[in-house]
Amino acid sequence: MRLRITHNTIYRYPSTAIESHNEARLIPITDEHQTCLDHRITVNPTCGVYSYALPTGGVSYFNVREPHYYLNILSESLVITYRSNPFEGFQFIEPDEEFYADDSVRQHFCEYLAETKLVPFHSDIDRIAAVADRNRTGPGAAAFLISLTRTLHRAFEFRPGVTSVHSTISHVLEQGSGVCQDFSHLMLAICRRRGIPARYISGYLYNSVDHSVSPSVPSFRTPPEGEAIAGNEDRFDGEAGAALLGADVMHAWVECLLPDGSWRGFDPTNNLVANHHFVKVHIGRDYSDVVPLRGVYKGPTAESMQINVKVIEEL
Amino acid sequence: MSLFESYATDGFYDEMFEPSGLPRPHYRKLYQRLVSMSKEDFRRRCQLADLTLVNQGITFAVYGNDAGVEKPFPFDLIPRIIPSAEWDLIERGLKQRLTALNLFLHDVYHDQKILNDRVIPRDLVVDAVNYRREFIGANPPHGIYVHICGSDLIRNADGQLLVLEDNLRTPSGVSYVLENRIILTRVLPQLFRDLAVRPVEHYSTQLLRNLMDLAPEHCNGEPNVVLLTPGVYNSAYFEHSFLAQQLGIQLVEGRDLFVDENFVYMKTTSGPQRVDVIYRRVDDDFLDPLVFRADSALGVPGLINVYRAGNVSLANSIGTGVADDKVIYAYVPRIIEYYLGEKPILSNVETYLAWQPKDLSYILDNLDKLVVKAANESGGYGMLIGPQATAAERADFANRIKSNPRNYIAQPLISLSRSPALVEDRFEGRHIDLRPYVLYGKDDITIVPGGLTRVALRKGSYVVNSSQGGGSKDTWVLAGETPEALGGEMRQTQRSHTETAPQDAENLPDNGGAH
Repeated sequence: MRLRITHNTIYRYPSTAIESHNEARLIPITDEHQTCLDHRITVNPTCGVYSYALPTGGVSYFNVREPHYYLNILSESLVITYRSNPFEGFQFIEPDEEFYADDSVRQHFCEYLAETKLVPFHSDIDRIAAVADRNRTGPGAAAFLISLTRTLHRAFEFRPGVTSVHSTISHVLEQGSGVCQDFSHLMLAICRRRGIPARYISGYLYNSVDHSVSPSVPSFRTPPEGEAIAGNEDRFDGEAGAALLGADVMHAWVECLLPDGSWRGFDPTNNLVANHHFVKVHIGRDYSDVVPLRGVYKGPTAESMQINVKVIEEL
Repeated sequence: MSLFESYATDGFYDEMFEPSGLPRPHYRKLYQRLVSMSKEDFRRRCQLADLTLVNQGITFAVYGNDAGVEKPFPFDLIPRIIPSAEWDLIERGLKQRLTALNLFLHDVYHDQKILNDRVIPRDLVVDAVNYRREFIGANPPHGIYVHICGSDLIRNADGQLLVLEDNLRTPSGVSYVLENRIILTRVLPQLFRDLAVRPVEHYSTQLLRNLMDLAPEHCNGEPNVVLLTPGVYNSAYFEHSFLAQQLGIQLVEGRDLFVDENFVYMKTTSGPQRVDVIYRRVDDDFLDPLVFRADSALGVPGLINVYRAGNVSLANSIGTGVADDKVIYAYVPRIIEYYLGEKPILSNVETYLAWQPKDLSYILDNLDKLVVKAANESGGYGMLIGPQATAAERADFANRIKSNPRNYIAQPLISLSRSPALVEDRFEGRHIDLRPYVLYGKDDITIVPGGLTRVALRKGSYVVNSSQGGGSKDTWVLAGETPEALGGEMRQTQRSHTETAPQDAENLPDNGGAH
C-alpha cells in the first residue's frame, strides 16, 4: 500500500512562550515491512529542522527562540507497506520454547526482555497470561501471542483520559481501561516475563473503513478463538467493520520476536495482527523511548494541544 | 626533638619507611631535612602554608555539612614521593587502561563487538543507567570519548599498586595538584633544588591544547573554548573557576549559553558569540533538559543534538559513565586483553559482582570482611566498609544488595599504604591513595607526573574522599635517580623513631587485608 500521512500538532499558549527546544520522533522507519519514500517536518513559526538516525528510528529537532503564541508542527510522510498477509510464516503447531530459553537469544535481546519503569512485572500479569494460554490454538509462540492479543482486547476497555503518558501498567490493571499505550505496555510485560523479546512500536494505522478506500473489512483481525489458523487472511470476528481505535491519532502496538528471527506486530487495542495498514515510526523499550514530540520552553502551560492525523491511501 | 619521635609504621606498608624503620632510598633527602627541622620551624612552615591556602582561597564545599558550605581543603605538608621507575610503570599502565576504555566506549556505541563476542554480558552495558541510547552511532571528534580521566590507585600491604576505580565522567581534584605544588615550592624551596622533582605546571597548557584540537572543522581561527560549571553551589566550583583562569577561557553556567539553529552561542555584552568547545563539568544527567533530565536547570537545552551534529565539541563526551560503572570496572582487565591483546600492566582490586548468584552469597556471608559499593556513586557515598560498620549498617546493606544485586559490588578491604602526616605536633601514619590525571589528546595520551595524593586524616580511616574528611599532599615524581643520589647512607642516630615500631617488621601481619 502507498500511504500518505499528515500529522499536525498545534500547541497554543495563553501568553508568549520563548526559547522552545524540541525533539520529534516522527520519521517512518524503512525496513523489510515498509519503505519511507518521503518525509518532511514543517514548523510554524518557521525554523530549521535537523535530524539524525538511531537504530530505533529517526530523530528530528528544532528550536523557536522568539516569542510565540502557538507552535505548529506538521509532519508529512509517504510510505509503501508490504505485508498484506499478516499471518504469513506463523508457526502454531510445533513447540518453540527452546528458542526463547537459549542463552544467546536472551543475551542478544536483553533490552527487550527487561522490566522498565513503565513496564514492571506486576503480579497480575500472570493471570492474564494464563487466560491467553487456555485459549491458544497450538503450542507455537505465535498462537500464544494471537491469543494474548485477543485476551487483552477483551479484558480491557479502551477509554481515553483515564491514564496519562506516565502511567505504568499498574494503573491499567487497577482501572481495567486505558489507551493504546497502556494495552501495549501490558502486552510487553506479559511477553517479556515469558521470555519473548517484545518492543514498543509507535506509528500510524490506516483505517480503510473511515476513508472508504477499500470496501472490504480489515482482513487482519485475529481469528475467533478455537479456530485453527492456517494463514487464511479472510477470517475476522464479529466486530469487523467498526472504526479502528487509534487511527485518528498516533497509534502504538507491540512487536515480538518469533523463532524464525522476524519481528512481528500485534495490536492488542484493536485485536489485530499488524499488516500493511500499519506504519512503523519508532521502536523502544517502552513509551518513554519513542515520545513523538518532546520539548522544553519558557512560558505558560499550553492551554491546548490539538493533534490531527490523516492516513490516506494513494492509488 | 624530632617530629618523627613517636612515629610507628604499625605494620602497615609505609611509603616513607621500610619495615626495618629505615627511610626508603627515594625518601632519604626529605627525611634528613625533616628530622633536622625543629618543631617550631615546621610549625612556622605550616602556618605559611595555611596562609597561602587562605590567601589563594582554596576551599571545598561539602554536601550535608550545615556548619558552612565552604571549608578549607586540608593540605598536609609532607610530600608523597614516587621514584621514576615506579612512575614509568604507572604511566604505561594508565595509558594502556585509558586506550582500552576508549576503544570500549566506541565499540559499545557502535558495533558492540565485545558484547556480541560475549566477553561482557550485554545487559550489564545496555541496561546500565549511564549507557546513553541517544548517543548510539554518534562520532565524537578523533574518536575520543574520555579526554580527562582520573584513575584512583592504591598500594596494598605487599606494596603492589592497584587500580581502585576509574573516573571517566567529570573527575575533579586537579586544581589541588597545581595549588599544592605552588604552596610546597614556597614552604620547602630548598628540597625542590636538591631533589629533581618533575614539574606539573604544564597541565593547563596541555589541556588547553587538547581542547583546542577538538574544535569543529567549520571553525576558522582561534576556537572559542569555555568551561561549563553547574555554578557556585557545586562542591568543585573553586576548581572550575581556578581552571578557567589557568586555561584563560570563559567560565560559564548553562544560562550563559544557548542553542540556535544547530549551533551553540554564548551571551556576551557585544551579542551572541559562537562556542566551539565546551569543557563541561556538568554531569550528563543535567547537561541538556531536552534529552536527559527535564527538570535540570543547570544545562543547555538542545546542546546534545548540536554536539551530535559535530557543531560543538564536548570534553568529556556523552555516555562515558558506562565505562566507570563499578560493575564494568571488574571487566577492565578483560577489556584490555580484548582490544589490545595485552596483559594489564596495572591490576584491579579483586571484585565480587552481586549479580552473579555465587558472588552474591559470598558477599552476604562475608559482609563483615568486605567493602561494598554501589555501582554508580562516587565521592565515598553509597559505600559500606564491613569491618568498621555496625551490625545494623550491615543488615541495611544486605537488604539493599538483595533488592538490586546489579547495583552492587564488593571488594576485600585493602590495607592502604600509609604516609606520615602531621597530627597536632608530631607525625603519624595515615592512609593514602593517588589520583593521576590522564589527558587523551588528538595525537597521544599524556599524564602530568604525579597527581593528587589524598590522605585520610582521621586516624584509622580508609576513606580519602575530600567529601569525607580527606586531605591532600603534593606528589613528587623524581626525574631518574639512583639510591646514592638520594642522600647517601643513613646514620644510626637518625633511626630513633623505629624504637616504637614493631621489631619483627619484616613479617608484616595481614592487617585488615581480609581476603
